[in-house]
Amino acid sequence: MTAAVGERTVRYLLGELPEAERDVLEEEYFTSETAFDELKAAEEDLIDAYCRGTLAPHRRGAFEARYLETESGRQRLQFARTLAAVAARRPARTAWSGWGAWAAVLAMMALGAGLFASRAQLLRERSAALADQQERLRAEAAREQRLAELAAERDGLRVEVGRLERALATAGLARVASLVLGAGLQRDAAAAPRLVLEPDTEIARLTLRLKTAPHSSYDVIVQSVDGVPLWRRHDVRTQVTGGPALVVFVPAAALRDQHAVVVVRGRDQPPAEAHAEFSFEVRRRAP
Amino acid sequence: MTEVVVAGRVGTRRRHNLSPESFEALLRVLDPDRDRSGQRYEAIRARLQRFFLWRGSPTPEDLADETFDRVCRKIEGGEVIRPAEAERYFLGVARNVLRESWDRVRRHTASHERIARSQAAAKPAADEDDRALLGLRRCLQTLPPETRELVLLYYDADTGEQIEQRRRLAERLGIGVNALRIRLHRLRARLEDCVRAHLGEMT
Repeated sequence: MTAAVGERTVRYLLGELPEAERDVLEEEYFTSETAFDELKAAEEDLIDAYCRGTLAPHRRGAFEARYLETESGRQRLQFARTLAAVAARRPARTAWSGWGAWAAVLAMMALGAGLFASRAQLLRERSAALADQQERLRAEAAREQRLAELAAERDGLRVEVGRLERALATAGLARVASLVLGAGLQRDAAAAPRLVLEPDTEIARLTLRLKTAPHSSYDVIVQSVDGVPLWRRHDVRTQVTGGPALVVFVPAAALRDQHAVVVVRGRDQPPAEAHAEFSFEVRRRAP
Repeated sequence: MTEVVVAGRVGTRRRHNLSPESFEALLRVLDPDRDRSGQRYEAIRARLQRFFLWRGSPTPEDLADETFDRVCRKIEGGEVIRPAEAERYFLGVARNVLRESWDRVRRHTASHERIARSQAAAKPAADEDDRALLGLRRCLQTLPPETRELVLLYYDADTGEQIEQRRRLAERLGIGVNALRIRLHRLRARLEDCVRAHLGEMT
């Protein structure tokens, strides 16, 4: 674009061109694609110059009268400002290689369809994002539902296990040996209560009486005096009849003919601590 | 508002009192081939909108619609428009429409009201700027990386550097500076459309 042509288009865009010249220019851009493109490009340069503050002062008034007056003009100014801001904030000024340049040329040629499709692309992206969100919410809801089901199932199973163990112990289906261990019992060997297991005893029922029961549930570990675990049960709830107590049913096969220790640990206690400890002696009778 | 499908594209006309038949007649004048007539319709429409905008009309789209209405009515009334002269014909009608619109403006709008309105609207609200920024970033992401970089390089640079920067870009692309300018203008126009669509979507 020559300086004279540039001046003519700027004057047209600002409404400063005499009528005769204006009519000629309008005919040009109505009948020539190139002239129309040229004028639009010149307008963008003008808008950019205004946004960058490089438009000659005597033209700023005319520009504002024309572009700030209409919604469309204001939108175009806003776009120019935004584009300049984004270009200036670009993180890195990468070297633009010759291959990159050719890639850009090819991309520009292919761009028509791409940019015309940009609105559709936006809608697709938005739709995909909403679908993702919906899927996440659905998965969360399903997970919560599953957790609630599992908790209900666990509670039901716990009740059922307790019921079955009690039924088993009282129905004579298995031979059960019972022992009640009270809080404050001596732990020395001589004073330790004795659990006698007959050859056909299958289950040892241990009732562990606690002084206090501040925890919601307990782990109960039966171990040898030197700390080797023999049996354990998690998440045992207290029974309150006659004071807080824990009742566990230990398979007789897990118990050896020796002294044993029962460690009771609150669910939220660290592993090194115990809420209570009990000792007892196991004595197996010969068949 | 009437929606008219033109050669597979959707053109939106405001406040039209036209029958589909008269619009079809207009398209036939522009080109017997439906696709080409649709493209020509869009090209004339783009020129009319810019014409009214560049001549200072506050409602360029409405006046472009009005111009189409008038031309269609003339065709309905039996006026013969030579296809080769269609653009000039539209330009002539558009000038009349513009003149009449200025008369209406003079009669109904006090200039001080317009000035107050323009001053109030001169600075877009901050959230509008944010939305435009977000929209532009999203639209830029739809471009291939090299093209995006080209756009940002072209529009970045201080005034002092800008001429040299653009000259270097044109050189690397193997095209003239003005050809680069026109290509970038086309890219920019489409980006602008994309941002406008994005803003419309957000509102």
